[in-house]
Amino acid sequence: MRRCLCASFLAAALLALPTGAALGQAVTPDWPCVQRLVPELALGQVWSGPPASGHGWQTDPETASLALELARRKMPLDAAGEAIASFAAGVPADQRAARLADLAKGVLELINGARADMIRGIRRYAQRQQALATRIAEESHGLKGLPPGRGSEVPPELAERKEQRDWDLRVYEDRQALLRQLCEEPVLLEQRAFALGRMMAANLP
Amino acid sequence: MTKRALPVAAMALLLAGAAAEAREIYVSNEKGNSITIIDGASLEVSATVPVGNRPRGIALSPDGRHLYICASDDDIIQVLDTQSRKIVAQLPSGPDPELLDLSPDGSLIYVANEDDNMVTVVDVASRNVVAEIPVGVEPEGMGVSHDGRWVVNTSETTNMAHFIDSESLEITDNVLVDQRPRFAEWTSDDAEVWVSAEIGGTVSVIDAAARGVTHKIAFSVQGVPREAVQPVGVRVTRDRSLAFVALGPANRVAVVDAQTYEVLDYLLVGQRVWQLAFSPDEAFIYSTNGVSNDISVIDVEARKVLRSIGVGRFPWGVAVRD
Repeated sequence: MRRCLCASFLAAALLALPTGAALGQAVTPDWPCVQRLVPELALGQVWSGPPASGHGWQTDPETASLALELARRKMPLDAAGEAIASFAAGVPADQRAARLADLAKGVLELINGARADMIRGIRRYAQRQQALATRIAEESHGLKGLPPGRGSEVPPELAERKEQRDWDLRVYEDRQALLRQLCEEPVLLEQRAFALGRMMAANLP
Repeated sequence: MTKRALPVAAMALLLAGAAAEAREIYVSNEKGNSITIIDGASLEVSATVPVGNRPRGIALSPDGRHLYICASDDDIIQVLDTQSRKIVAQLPSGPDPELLDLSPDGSLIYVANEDDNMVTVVDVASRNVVAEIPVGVEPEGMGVSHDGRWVVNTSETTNMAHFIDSESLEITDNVLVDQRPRFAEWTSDDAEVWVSAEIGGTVSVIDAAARGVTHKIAFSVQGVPREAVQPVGVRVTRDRSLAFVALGPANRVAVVDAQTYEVLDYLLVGQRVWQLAFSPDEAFIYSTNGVSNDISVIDVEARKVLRSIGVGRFPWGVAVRD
């Protein structure tokens, strides 16, 4: 399969694969993932508690520091739940709702920033893949114009250019597999944002 | 599960609806290619049954014995025996079956074929296709009236609700609704059909006799951009007091007064909330949440989300039996 340069493979490669239609979704131009593109998450999608205090979550060091920790995926969700509960317990009851709302806002802003970077990265990566796919198509087309040689003898130029084309194809396929993994990342962060919002809501008075 | 060991007579009593512990919730997992079965009393997952590819719309037979599953990428309807929890038969469906609904007696299944612009009618007993009805582009929503006389299909691209006469199997009326209609729900008295529009962001209430839209319900969720409010699944209580509307990536279920058409509340459930189903006693309504891979349990009277239950990947359809 890997070495097979069939027409259907190239056709798929050159289409640059916005495959959202496969899941009955509207296709977003230049978005290479099967996952639906969600450019930004709104606070109301993850939080239905009271509004934020308006002071800005960065102004309170404890809130800001916890928001940074929670937004990073290094912290497992179980630990995040404990950290949120401990934060809420340390806040006077009459301020708890507003402080949790600030925390929710901070976490979402940080996650939105990280997701935006990811989405830009995925788009750049896909553009490079598109360029490589075009090159492979040109290389394949060029091979057809070369004399095939006699019997089992393959002319050196044909062998060399075929090797280059096969190498590019292999690189393309490897990167395509990585792209599929990258496409999962914004969704994972979207899921994390919601899960954290739920945990914060569970600590509302 | 102890239930399997029960004698047949005791099982019949349970199925008669006497025991709440017999309740089961079925969820199709679009990417997980499975059906999750949840015990309605403990709200724990009791089984995960592998099924065909891309299961979406599901519906129970009137006696609760069989769950019909649209295996969209296999172009068939699978039949799950709810006692043995095994796939026991398959029915033809036409290409890309997405949603299905049954005639009140359970003898016919109406299937929306998304890729084929058709509604396929399947006879359950003979396992044959008895009719293919041409409809609009990308048919999706399917709703059979409670008297079995009318079938409403919605077509996503044509933006219409098609009224199909179940006797002549022909479209008699087309009602224009908002963009990308997804779901059709008949009220229990067959007086109204509620049709959601995913892109339009509305629910159109159609007077079933007059074949016209009488009310249009719009949704506005604080802190959520308008384009993320995408109505999909709709359910109306039997007494027509309340309606529940799943709002897709807004992650909310809207609670609507079904008499005044006023939106009363927006409940935060899970991510990309898709379809809804009541428990038979309508004490609870369950939502499938496609991105957070869970379902939410909502207390209907209290209008509160009680809890979420993790299921398979991309939960899509939901059905409940006692």
